[in-house]
Amino acid sequence: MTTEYRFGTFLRDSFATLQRELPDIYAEMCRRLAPQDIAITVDSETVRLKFAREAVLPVKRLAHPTVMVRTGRKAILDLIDARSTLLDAAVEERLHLRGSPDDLARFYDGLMAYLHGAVRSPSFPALLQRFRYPAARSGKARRRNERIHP
Amino acid sequence: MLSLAPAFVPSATAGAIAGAIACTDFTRRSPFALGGPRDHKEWHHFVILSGEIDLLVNFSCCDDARRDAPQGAEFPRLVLLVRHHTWDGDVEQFSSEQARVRGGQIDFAFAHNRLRFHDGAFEISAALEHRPVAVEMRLTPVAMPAYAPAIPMIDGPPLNWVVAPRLRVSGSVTLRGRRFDLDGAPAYHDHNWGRFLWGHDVSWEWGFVLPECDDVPWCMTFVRLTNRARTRALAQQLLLWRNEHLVALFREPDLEPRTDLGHLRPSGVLKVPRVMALLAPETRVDVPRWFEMHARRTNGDWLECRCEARDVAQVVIPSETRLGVTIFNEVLARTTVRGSLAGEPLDFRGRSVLEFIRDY
Repeated sequence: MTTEYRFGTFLRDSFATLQRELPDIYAEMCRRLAPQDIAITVDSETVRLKFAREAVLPVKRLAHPTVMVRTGRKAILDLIDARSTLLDAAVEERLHLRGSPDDLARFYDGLMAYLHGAVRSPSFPALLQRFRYPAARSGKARRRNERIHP
Repeated sequence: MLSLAPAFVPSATAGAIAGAIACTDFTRRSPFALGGPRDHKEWHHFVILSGEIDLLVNFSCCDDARRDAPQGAEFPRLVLLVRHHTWDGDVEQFSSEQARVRGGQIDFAFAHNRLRFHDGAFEISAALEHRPVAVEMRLTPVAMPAYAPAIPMIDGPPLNWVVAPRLRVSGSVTLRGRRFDLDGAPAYHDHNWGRFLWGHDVSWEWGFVLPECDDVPWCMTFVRLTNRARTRALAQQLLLWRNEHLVALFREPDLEPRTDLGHLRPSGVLKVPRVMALLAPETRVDVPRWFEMHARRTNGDWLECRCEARDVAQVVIPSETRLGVTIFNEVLARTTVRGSLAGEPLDFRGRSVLEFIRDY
């Protein structure tokens, strides 16, 4: 039996993992992104997030997102595998970003903190593997080495 | 008179070299698992410079630097970089269940990947999981190793270094389905261990020279360890071998490194693991176009070694002290060496790999 591992589930799991394994980096990510309201659409799924200084909270509705992101699962994996850069993805319209320049700059800083946590987290490779193969049975996901501890 | 070339080391000498490797180059292992101090880092590093294809292979085991990491937690890692016109390769990391590293020996098993020292030679068998690169080779040391202990560090205990400067390879590497013969290719090996964090106040510029022609008896390695800003040298050494023997060691007051103020400008840079390109996307590299080591002693011995950088790949790892990265620039270079040692002239061309560590 297979169940699809949705982007929203991946994001929620990844935030919980960062908070557990690298609480300082999780706190830094929240500090950089608060008090933003961010809507992220990946393919047909939209995730809405409210950032406070201490935590990120998924919500059902956002009246006025400060940053809106729209992309696809393939575009995200292309970034992770260095087949594309953030700049290329934006220029080639595989990554759409909408917000004021200040809010987008803060979003970038927060995203970098999230990524710094991701590459240091012992549990992130398994999460990413599920995201990479969303329909795979969890026990059969192949190992992947996105994590790189020094 | 040119003496015996290193490719034809007599068996008695080969036995002495193997014995010296076994006595100095064995894996120390972290004391963290036994309740000792943490932050141990240790790696065995190999570079093979064949005429057609170049390889870098590194087996390492480093302690988990998170302050709340379970006792003994560490990260076994394999770096495999290959250059044939362009670079390929990856960094793979393994769980503790997939890894076995024997202390007191040179014996690593990371899943199906293996490094061991057996019967006078290093045996390496490795195949990347997500890139079409595999290698099977045996590297026989043809020069005596050198042990350089207690290289000073600013933020902690000293770094240790064992060098086997010249090896002869047999075997092959397979890249994207094409098999390349490595028989007779020259190689370099070293081994470092110490206790420190990436992101500490340290940087180094290290390199080696293997002659282009087998009948040249000379080879050398050098290192300069500095603070991160590269304003203060902590240690600098240049070691020179003639055939199988270490014949000269130039130390701090004997050495003057010089670097070009211009930088190498590659059209693109492979960064591994690839995900780290998101955190270090820059394609400009802090690598000089040339690097020189000038050595001179009061007894009249002198050396000039000039390395012209040709290409670079980067191993990028997260800093352990802040939200930054530490970048290992692995630089391929063509080198010329001139000098005089005890009245004997040196003048040869060689190939080098230099490593420039930068912290961002």
